[in-house]
Amino acid sequence: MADNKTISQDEVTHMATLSRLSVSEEEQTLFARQMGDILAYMDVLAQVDTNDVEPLYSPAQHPGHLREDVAARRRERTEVLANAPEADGEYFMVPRIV
Amino acid sequence: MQNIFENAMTEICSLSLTQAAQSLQKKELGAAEAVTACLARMDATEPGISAMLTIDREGALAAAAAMDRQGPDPSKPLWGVPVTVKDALSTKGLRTTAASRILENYTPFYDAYAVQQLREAGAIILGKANMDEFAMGSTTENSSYQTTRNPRDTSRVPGGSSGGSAASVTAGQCFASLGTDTGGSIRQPASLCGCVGLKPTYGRVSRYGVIAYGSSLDQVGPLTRTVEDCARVLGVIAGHDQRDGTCAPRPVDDYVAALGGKGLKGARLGIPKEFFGEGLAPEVRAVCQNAMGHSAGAGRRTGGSKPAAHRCGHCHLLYHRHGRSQLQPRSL
Repeated sequence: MADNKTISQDEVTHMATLSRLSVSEEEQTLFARQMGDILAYMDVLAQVDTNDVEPLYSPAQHPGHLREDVAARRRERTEVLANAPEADGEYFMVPRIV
Repeated sequence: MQNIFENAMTEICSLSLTQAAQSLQKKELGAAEAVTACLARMDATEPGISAMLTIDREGALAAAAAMDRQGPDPSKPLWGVPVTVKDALSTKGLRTTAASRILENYTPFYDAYAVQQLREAGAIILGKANMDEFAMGSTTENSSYQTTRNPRDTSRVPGGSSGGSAASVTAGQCFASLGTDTGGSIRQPASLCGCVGLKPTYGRVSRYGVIAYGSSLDQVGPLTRTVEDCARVLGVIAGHDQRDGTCAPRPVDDYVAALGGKGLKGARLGIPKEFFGEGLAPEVRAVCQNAMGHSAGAGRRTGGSKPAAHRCGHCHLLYHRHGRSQLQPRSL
């Protein structure tokens, strides 16, 4: 078992704040340990010698495809707005967040 | 422990997809009859396994009735065949949640490419299968709606994240299900439920309309009761789609034809030795070695192989173990 990388409870609460999640004290302790364990496994990967290995940028073996930059009307506005909790017929209306 | 599988399935629901498709083409079986049998099977099994998040009774019966009026179409390989779709794939007009409360009221206005292909091939979509929320899990216990149970033993998990798909197919609720696989999410639940699951090579099936988990790894794939059924469904969903830039512009092979003839006789199976190292449960080792022995007996040669970075294989297994929670899945 790889050594645990210490993550502090403060780091856990900081990440929770960024994620807009509330975390109990027990969860802080649990997650700190679990996150440390996960980071420790990265050390196992780091031990692999990749000096002679070509980096893999994409599993896709083919080049990307480009198309002509031509605008096309594919959807009706009513369709697109149908899932909006609030809309004014033209735009999505969302709570102010800034 | 309740074993759903012990209850005799209706004759229709125990057919393979291939058998059902042939019966439908020959008008021995009607589309509405097939859908009705599957819906009845769902009614009988859902209380025990909870595989489905949304069942579209009206839509499926209406589609079936319309198809019966027109009669079988030999150009449609899945004509009249009822299927389910993992709730990570967008279905037009049918609620799609990815098993999350965030998408509780989300109804897509378009079909995922793979769903579109199923419809064009004549398949009938019965509903959306349960999964781990946003595919984040390997047991389907992380769904925000319900826990799906393994139809072969309802005290056990079906695996995940395509647990609903695997359970639905295994319980005979449908003839095939589409799942998604990023790090095993089709293959593992198929294994735990005892059905066939395939993760196609990345780029073989378009990811357009799939709610993403790991976009450089995600693939849509079939879960079925037989390998032939799997080949049939793959042939329908594979293909180039302009709307997915990672989709390969390669022609689609005839996978069903490739199954015929000598099959795997004389083929050489590579078994990575590192997957049989430290940490492997003895029961799993025994089951795998038994299967390998079986393969050798059937004329296939097996041999050890060594991936270049064997410890990465170790890490892959560790990643899976960390994904576990609560109930530990057991191998069959």
